[in-house]
Amino acid sequence: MKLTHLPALAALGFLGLVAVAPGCRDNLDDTVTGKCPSQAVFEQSVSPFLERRCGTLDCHGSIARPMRLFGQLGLRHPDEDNVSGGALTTAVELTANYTSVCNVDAEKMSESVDDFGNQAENLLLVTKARGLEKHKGGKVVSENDAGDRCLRGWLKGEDVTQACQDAVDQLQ
Amino acid sequence: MRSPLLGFAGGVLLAVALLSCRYDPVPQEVIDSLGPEVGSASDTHRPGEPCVLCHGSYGGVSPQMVIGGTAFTTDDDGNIIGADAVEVTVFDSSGGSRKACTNSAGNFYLEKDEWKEIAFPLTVRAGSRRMRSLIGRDGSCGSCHKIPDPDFPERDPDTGAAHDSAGYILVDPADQGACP
Repeated sequence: MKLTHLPALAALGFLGLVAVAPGCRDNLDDTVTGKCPSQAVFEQSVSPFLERRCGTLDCHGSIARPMRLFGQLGLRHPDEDNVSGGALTTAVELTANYTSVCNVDAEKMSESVDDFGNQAENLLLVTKARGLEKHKGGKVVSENDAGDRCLRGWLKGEDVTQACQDAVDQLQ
Repeated sequence: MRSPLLGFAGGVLLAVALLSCRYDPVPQEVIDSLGPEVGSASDTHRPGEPCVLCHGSYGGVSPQMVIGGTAFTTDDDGNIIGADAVEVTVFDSSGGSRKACTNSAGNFYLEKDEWKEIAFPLTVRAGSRRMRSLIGRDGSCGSCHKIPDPDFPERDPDTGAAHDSAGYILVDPADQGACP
């Protein structure tokens, strides 16, 4: 390397530092609260479907898997003393399931809520369930079947009581 | 002078690379935790353990299984024992089903070649008892139906049930003998 290049390199390095430095100034304690559709509807209607179809101990009821789901017949919450197959799904577990599902795709989920669910079909929750995105569990719902209406309806703020119940019934 | 050494080093590197292609730490850790074989391997060995880990594509052990597990029951004194000659029916999502019979240890399995087009999730009936949840993807019943183990004190010492375990697959004693 020629010595005459040193000033230019130093200038480049300085510019790089100036460009990167603002990125380090963010307060790491800052939090952003994401938006997610109705927790009450989720806990009443959507969670029972997800618990049964997706929350088995060998799928999303595994502690090793993202979008962890708790439930009566799957994984039990570690803060409580229940065993798989024992007591009904608890309030703590329903809240944990809601948090888990809302945070799979947190930013897009917020955008979807702001857009009244019109972007719901782009969420991983939907694309993975439909098998459009790589999903180890394969295709879980088909477009407009009961399970699909249960998920999309919740994301759009619709009444999904019947769709989710139908989806659960089909799995009995 | 360098050629033989280079050849040897290349061979070692190739061997390591090939071995690492087969190594998957997730199933391997579970396999290692099961401990060494006691006695000789047979169709009554290791009741309650997750069969398909070894008898699947990763483990490579014959016979290759698509489903494998152990059904238990209670004897007259209330002790947990392997359930003999119990009919186990597995139903898949495409409407297909297969039957298996437990042996004297309670072990049962379906070979991969018997059901190449199996579609998960599955449901199962063991004897007169129907499984309440679905099987999402794991053909090893023992992965979720863990049995009591002093090394895992979080499991119920009588049933094996825990946060992440449904415990023994328990069938009615009267269900025994239904299979030839």
